[in-house]
Amino acid sequence: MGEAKVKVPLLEVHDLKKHFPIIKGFFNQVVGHVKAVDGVSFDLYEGECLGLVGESGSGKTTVGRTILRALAPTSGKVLFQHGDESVDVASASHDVLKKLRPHMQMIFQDPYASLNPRMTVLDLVGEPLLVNGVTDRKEREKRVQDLLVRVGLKPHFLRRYPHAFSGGQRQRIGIARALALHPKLVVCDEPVSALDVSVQAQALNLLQELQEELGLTYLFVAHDLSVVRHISDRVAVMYVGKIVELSPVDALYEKPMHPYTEALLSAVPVPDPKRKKKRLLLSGEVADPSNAPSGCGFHPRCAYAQERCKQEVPELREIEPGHFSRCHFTETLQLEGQADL
Amino acid sequence: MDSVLSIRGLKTHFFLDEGIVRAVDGVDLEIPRGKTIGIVGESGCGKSVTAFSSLRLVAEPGQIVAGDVVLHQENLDVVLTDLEDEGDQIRAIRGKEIAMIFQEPMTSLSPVHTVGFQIMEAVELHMDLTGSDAQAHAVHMLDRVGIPDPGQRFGQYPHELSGGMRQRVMIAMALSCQPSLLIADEPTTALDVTIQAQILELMRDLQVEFDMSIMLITHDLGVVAEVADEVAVMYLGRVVEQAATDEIFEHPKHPYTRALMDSIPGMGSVRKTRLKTIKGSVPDPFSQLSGCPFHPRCEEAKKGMCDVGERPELLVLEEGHQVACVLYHEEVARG
Ligand SMILES: Nc1ncnc2c1ncn2[C@@H]1O[C@H](COP(=O)(O)OP(=O)(O)O)[C@@H](O)[C@H]1O
Ligand SMILES: Nc1ncnc2c1ncn2[C@@H]1O[C@H](COP(=O)(O)OP(=O)(O)O)[C@@H](O)[C@H]1O
Ligand SMILES: [Mg+2]
Ligand SMILES: [Mg+2]
Repeated sequence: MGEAKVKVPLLEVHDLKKHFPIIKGFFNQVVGHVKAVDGVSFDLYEGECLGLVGESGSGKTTVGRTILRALAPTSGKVLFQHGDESVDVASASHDVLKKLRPHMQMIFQDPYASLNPRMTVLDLVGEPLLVNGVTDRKEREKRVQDLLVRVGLKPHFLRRYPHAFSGGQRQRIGIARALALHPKLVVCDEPVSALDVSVQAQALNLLQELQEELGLTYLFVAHDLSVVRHISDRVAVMYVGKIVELSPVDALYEKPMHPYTEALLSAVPVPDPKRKKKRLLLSGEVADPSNAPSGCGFHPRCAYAQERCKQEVPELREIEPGHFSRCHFTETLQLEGQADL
Repeated sequence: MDSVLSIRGLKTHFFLDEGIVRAVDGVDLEIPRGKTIGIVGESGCGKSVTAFSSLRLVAEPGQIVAGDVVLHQENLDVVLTDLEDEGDQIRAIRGKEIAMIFQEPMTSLSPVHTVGFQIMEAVELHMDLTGSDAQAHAVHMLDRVGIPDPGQRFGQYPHELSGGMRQRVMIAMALSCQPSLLIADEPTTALDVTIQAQILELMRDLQVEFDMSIMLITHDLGVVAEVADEVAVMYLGRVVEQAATDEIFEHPKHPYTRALMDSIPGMGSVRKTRLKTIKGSVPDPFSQLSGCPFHPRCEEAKKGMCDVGERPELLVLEEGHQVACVLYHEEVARG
């Protein structure tokens, strides 16, 4: 992002919650809730890429889907800057949503599962255009061809079906489809996780080029910390429904402030055999979001936990400008990052 | 080199209506005893089929059409590729001498039996233990792989366990008969990095304890760098480079190996710069390219040299470093 530019939030998320009811028994009784997202707040600035990381089950996908109202939130606000207006996506009516949808799109992990195998590329990429009033067939074909070229596919692929493409090509089709309506915000949910490294590199480069060229804003959900470091301006770390750390990317990787971030970074295998580093082995597994631990949700696995952590829920506090941590003891801990890799 | 398993000129082809898939097309590989060899390469290059072929687990329309797989036991070499299909001999070796674990444990765990029962079954089949002795050994194995409350978990079904716990159960089952070789096919690919770190550490500990060789198949060069002693890189059904881990990361020779390494987003690489990529993708498996099959994607390919003739042989470039690339053949010839 340009230094002098004033940062404008394109999206402001306030205390977002998504609780899934757990239903049991003959009378469909609600016996509890999976608190998949449990009080998430962050701003997303225009033109930036915010990475969202955390172990599986921490609520990343649910955040992405709830922001786009693909899932109805339980509570909270999602303010989207639409022209001069700020619209709350969380409570918007169907008519308002219909107007907003073209501006907010999603790219999925699995290019195999997310494309209807019985639709041609023309139909797949042209569908959002058709739904939004591009009814002229010739015009639609032309726009789809342009999009295909833009994502690095041949325009004559138009009449082929998804099975005729490799994983990397299918992901490009998914990207073309998401970009058809010139969105401002794109939620990318594990967009390169299913791809081989060489193809992954091509897809990441494409996403970066498109971002620069079209001024896109990304929420980039991924579990691969090296990929996230490569593409993000800022990174949020989630654990059991909550953001535990949020920071500009380099500060997060070099000087993490939350013990969970430190442990995650330490677990990443480094492709350099000479760096046989000492590893902080994180014991146990992710806590159950329907029965989160008391106090700080991370305390049962935390190497630094004290009595207070079992009782008191820590707040997400701004420790340094733009660097937030949800830990009682952030100031007293000396955590290790990945400084000089 | 002291090998536990030698794979020589192995070819496994699939005969489909559309044509022949040459999934494994001349693999030469020595699996060093007591060490970990990492097998890497993009998906579809034949890593899994090599593993399955070694255990003689290739089913129609697939067939091992050439080559040998030899298991070196203490005083005896057994040519696995000569054994009768599904005969007593290969079945005695599977699970006892060579065990295998997979990316998705559910494919090899039965959903209708408790995990304890399944480990006991393996133990009773291959070891001289029965009844309560077999049960005690199964509980001991569950405990050894770090499963809390092993006595209680013994009676649970696979679906009641998390992905990480299921992978531990798989490892307990695979190691319950103390195999000399463990083939692990992407054992941590479906797991979070934190759980992956736990499982890799566990495998490392058990390797020392059981004095076991490990063939670790993965597409993750980071994993290989951390746990492998030796690395073999595969491309389109063959090994194109093999060397000790430190050597191959420091001096990768084959252009494919180099390109693979360059395309990883380095944890320290300058952000917002473009990653290096390999142009195109792995060609479809029916295609038969002349010369070196990597030449259409290779940045260093020379016309008239790399795109003609036979596939380059895997040659020893230096002691312990083998490469299948024409560009080095002159160097090798000069000695
Ligand atoms: N539709 C749903 N119904 C019930 N629980 C769900 C649903 N979707 C997700 N969850 C639960 O919410 C939690 C967070 O899931 P998810 O957002 O997919 O995490 P992540 O993307 O970080 O892996 C998990 O415990 C998951 O099982
Ligand atoms: N049962 C099968 N029938 C037809 N082709 C197969 C079969 N199993 C594997 N193949 C093909 O063999 C090639 C190698 O596959 P595999 O060994 O699974 O690759 P890797 O494990 O390296 O990803 C691929 O092109 C794959 O499509
Ligand atoms: Mg997810
Ligand atoms: Mg495989």
